[in-house]
Amino acid sequence: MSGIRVSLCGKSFPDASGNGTRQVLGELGFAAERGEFVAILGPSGCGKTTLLNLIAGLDAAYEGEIALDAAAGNAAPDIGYVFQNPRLLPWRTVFENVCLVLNAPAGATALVEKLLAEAGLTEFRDAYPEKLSLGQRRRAAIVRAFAIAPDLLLMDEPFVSLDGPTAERLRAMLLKIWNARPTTVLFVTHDLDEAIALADRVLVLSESPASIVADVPIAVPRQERMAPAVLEEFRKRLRQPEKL
Amino acid sequence: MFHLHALWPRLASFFLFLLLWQLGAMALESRLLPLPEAVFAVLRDGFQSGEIPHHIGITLGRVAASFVLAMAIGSAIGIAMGRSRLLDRLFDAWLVLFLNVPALVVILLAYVWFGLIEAAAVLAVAVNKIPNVAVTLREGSRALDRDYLEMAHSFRLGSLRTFRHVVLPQLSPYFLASARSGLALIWKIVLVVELLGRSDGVGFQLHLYFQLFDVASILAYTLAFVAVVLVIEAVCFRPLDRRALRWRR
Repeated sequence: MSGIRVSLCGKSFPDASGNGTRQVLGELGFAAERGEFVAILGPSGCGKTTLLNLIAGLDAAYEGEIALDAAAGNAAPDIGYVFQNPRLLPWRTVFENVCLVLNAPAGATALVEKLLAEAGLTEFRDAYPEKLSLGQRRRAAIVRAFAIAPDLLLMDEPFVSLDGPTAERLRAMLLKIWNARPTTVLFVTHDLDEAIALADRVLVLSESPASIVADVPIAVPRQERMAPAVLEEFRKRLRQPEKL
Repeated sequence: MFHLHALWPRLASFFLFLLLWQLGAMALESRLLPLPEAVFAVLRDGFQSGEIPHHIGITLGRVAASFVLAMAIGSAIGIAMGRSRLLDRLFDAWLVLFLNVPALVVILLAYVWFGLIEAAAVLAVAVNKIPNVAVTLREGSRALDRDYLEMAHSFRLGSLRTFRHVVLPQLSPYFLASARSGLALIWKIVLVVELLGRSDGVGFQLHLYFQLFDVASILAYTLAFVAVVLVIEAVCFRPLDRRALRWRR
């Protein structure tokens, strides 16, 4: 398990014309404790995915510092990434997709079977991803990320464009798996209620170039959060900064 | 693989072809277009004496050697150029040059420079095919999906696993396409190579019968060799196709 400290001065991309640059992320800093579940809430297109890609090491061209303090003895922390589009290899079965990312596949297949069972995917173990529904593929992507016992788990709107009840079930599944195998989570979403339901703490991002406009701990046990009064209270506190 | 309802139109078209040939030959009554039965008699004699299998075997050996050489070198060049913009800019013009050098020129130069030897023949054929393979595979590796490469990178698969599980499966349609067109191109060029500088193989035999004006033998060799290529297509490429596509919906 690994904590993380992010202090960015900014991140720009070349703009469409090719001459100028477009700033996506502004000055942005936060830290997450080991084992903390942090939701990053922001409007569409504000640079949330860019932020996760920087943390995942997919893009090294940024100003600032991103530091992970891995558990002792682990040189490079393992990062699990659940992408918005599940990104399972279509030419490998569900089981092969999960086993592919393991560092030592020999001993870990029992863990994979167990995770698949917890995600309700046992009967789809040998199916190719194109034969699964979006919800099932999302579950498989979550299993894949947990299978490496990640020091840090990045999740990029993993439940977007699912119907309400399915998203609800997947959130419950995620919490169950995470409770059994705690790790630090950065969970990007634009859904207020989803952030409130899942996170220990919610960071609110501004429009692009994004910076953090609010840092709200959700200090209520998860099973009590869906009470209307509690929900309304947090909604208000999270919406407030967007009006500034 | 051979279902009856899919088979009968093929059989029908085969017999229609034979019928047209028969009628045409009967109408012309010329030594230059022999009857099918004359050609089949040559085929039978050739197989009984072992002459046709011998020369086809030699030609197939050359085809196989040049094919493997061209696919391996062409793929390596194509993938490298598809992945690196610098290499692409450096060698794009070379590729266009080699694509447009006539096969005959490559063959003549190979024989002039290296002598009338087996290696020169195989090399000449491979050099003719390498640019085609490279262009196809370059297209393929440019079309690699960044999403999967990012997934491989963030889960730290390493270059070997990434290549085997992420890159190769995406390239396999391009491999198959260039292997198919490659086989068709290579066996034709091999015949020219044999005609110009070898003393055995189907190309050499065709040249011999051309000088004797023996059209029946020329047709017999052609039919036998085309049949071999069709078998290769059915036995190697179709199952590979199915295997490569089994995950699709």
